Amino acid sequence: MSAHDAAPLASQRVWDLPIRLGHWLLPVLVGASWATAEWGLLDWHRRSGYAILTVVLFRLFWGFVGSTPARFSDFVHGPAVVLSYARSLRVRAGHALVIGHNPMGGWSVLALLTALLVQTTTGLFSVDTDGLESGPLSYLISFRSGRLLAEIHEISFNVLMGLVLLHLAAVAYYTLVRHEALVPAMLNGRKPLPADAARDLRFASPWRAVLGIAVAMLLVWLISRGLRF
Amino acid sequence: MSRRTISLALAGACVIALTAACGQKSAPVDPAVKAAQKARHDGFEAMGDALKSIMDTLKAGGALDATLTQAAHDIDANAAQIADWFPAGSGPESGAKTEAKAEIWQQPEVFAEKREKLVTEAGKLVALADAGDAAGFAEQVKAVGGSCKGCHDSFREKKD
Repeated sequence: MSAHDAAPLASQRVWDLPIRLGHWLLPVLVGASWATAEWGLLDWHRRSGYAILTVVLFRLFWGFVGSTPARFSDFVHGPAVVLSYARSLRVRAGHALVIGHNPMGGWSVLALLTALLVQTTTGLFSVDTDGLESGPLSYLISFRSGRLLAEIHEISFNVLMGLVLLHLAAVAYYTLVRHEALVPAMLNGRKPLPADAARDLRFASPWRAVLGIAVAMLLVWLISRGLRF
Repeated sequence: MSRRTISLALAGACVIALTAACGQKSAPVDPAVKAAQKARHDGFEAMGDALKSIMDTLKAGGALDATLTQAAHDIDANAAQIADWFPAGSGPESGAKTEAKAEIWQQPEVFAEKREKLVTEAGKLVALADAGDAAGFAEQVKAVGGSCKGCHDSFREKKD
């Protein structure tokens, strides 16, 4: 056992409200997008997609100027760090202390965000076979290209589902095997950590989050109007 | 046999199975069937292009003009040809990649009815365009798209 396992744990704030809100909005919205597509409710499918794009754009913004654990610089590491972290998992307890996203989870975050970005962007340009339903930017491309992007939209949904399953499996592994309560932490924002472990975290002002959300909403609104002003 | 030998043998078997699967060639598709499939693919794509250009203009707040009138005529001209696009043997049994369902040939009356629905609706669209009825045209476009969808729902393979 390493030193930090022996130290008494204290509940400390790790995930800020924007991260938690964005996190839980995604499964709700992705579920809604899937259902509205299945039921042929394309008006609602577009709205749900706009909401997802807003969350993703805000998350990118927050990854650069947000709270410490939200920043890409905090959790995106090269292969050496990822491998050494993966190796540390072979020991049942006592892997390196991780406060925010671990080095493998960091890549999972990037992969999920990329998949969501591909999913929403292809949707913006998609056209259905009947030429009736279409994304707000599809007028910029031909029917043929719009159909191609609609096919990629379907394929990338399957890729996204694969990544979601991987994510759920990882959360189950940490919860059941390593006894780290990741789900409660993502709900209430707090993790039991050794004293002062989260001392160096800097939490960004809620006003900055409001600004980021406003900019993301404005961008998505312009896109939904077909970038015509 | 050692474990290593067994693993090697299994790996070899997998490679052979995969190669066999890839090497399986389907019977060559009749050129006439291929031509028919291409004609209908191009024809439907032309109609998709035309309907999309109409929808794009209307969604952007535009109205009936010469371009849209031409697009309506394109849809109408292609719709009249659909009856020739599905010769017997050009369905999924041809071995070629097609989204045309076998039901097209199994339920010819239903297919003909849905096909004629498009011909009728496209005819109305052209009449409204030629008469310069912008409001009626914008309404009628939905009926045309609806008849595309009505037939696709029953007779076009959904890829998912």
